[in-house]
Amino acid sequence: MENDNNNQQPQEEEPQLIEREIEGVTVLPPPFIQDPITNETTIIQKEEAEPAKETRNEEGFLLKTIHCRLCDCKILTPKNAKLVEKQITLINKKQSNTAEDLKYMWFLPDMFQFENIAFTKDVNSTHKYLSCAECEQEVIGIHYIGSKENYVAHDRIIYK
Amino acid sequence: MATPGAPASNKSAAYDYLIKLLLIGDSGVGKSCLLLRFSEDSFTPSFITTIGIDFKIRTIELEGKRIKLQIWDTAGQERFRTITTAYYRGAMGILLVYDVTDEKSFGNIRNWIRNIEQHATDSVNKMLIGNKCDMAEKKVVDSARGKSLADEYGIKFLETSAKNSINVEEAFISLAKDIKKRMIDTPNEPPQLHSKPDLTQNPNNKKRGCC
Repeated sequence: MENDNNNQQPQEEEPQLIEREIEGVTVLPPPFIQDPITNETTIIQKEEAEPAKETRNEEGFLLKTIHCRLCDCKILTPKNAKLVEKQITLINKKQSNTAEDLKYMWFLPDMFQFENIAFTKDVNSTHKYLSCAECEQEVIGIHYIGSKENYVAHDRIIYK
Repeated sequence: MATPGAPASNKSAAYDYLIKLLLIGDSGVGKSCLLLRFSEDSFTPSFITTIGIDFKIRTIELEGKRIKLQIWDTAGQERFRTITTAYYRGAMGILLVYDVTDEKSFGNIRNWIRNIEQHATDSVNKMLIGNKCDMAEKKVVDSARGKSLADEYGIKFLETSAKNSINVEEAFISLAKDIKKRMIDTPNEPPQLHSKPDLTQNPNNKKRGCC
């Protein structure tokens, strides 16, 4: 291990005054956030069960509503997402410094297809993490800044 | 199984209108908390709290229409002291938040309004929010002063408690309603009869008889 200090303190950086447009709103972002997933994070390859057939139609579009598994807040409504297979690493709850490789993802090309959702600040200027808008307790997905694509992990939500 | 790339649905099916809101005020007044639904668990700072939230999307029903609110939290940007024009661009509504237990945050509302007048479009809907109204014993800014300041600027006023979920939803819905009325129900605003005096030319013009 190169660094003895596992508990990395967020560094106070000089503000980077770069304007950027997000969905029509030009913003002056605060300094980038360091990704909580580092090379010291233990990544677990999760063996996921495929989502039940009744969660989607033949084309893969969502047929259920998706809720936060911790507080029940409604995240997605039917037809607004499509099931895809894409491996994405998401950090686990709390400060355990473990993350999971997950592959069943609900894909949304447009962020406004979400019913309720929270976007974190930019991480390394490449992505934002998604969290429940009401409880903010864990990372449930990812938003890529370049492509504007959104993915919600099947493993971290519940269906109704 | 499908691959990413194809649109998941017709965009227009997801919502009728999109409204962009900003939360503005001193740090520590509880702007971020207005966006949280409190449960016992959420008092434990989660890992997300350390990363910080940039904005949220919330869906509400208003007069039979599905409205997506995109709510920007300026938390962490106050250290730039003023929020620049760039940040205000595209915003349709602004919640000006102070803490009823913090006199300074109330006094700074005038500075924030000045900042808005300089940088945001004139028509942006504003609302004054006195947060932490559950802390009655520590309250130093009484409701009448909040109301009077809001009246002075001709904007709405509500006291909220993010902790006890008092008036929080009402605040967002009330502001969204006013914006909908302005932008959607009556999109062709009649031209102003007389142009507003340019207050930025002489800062002394801004002083109003109060305090």
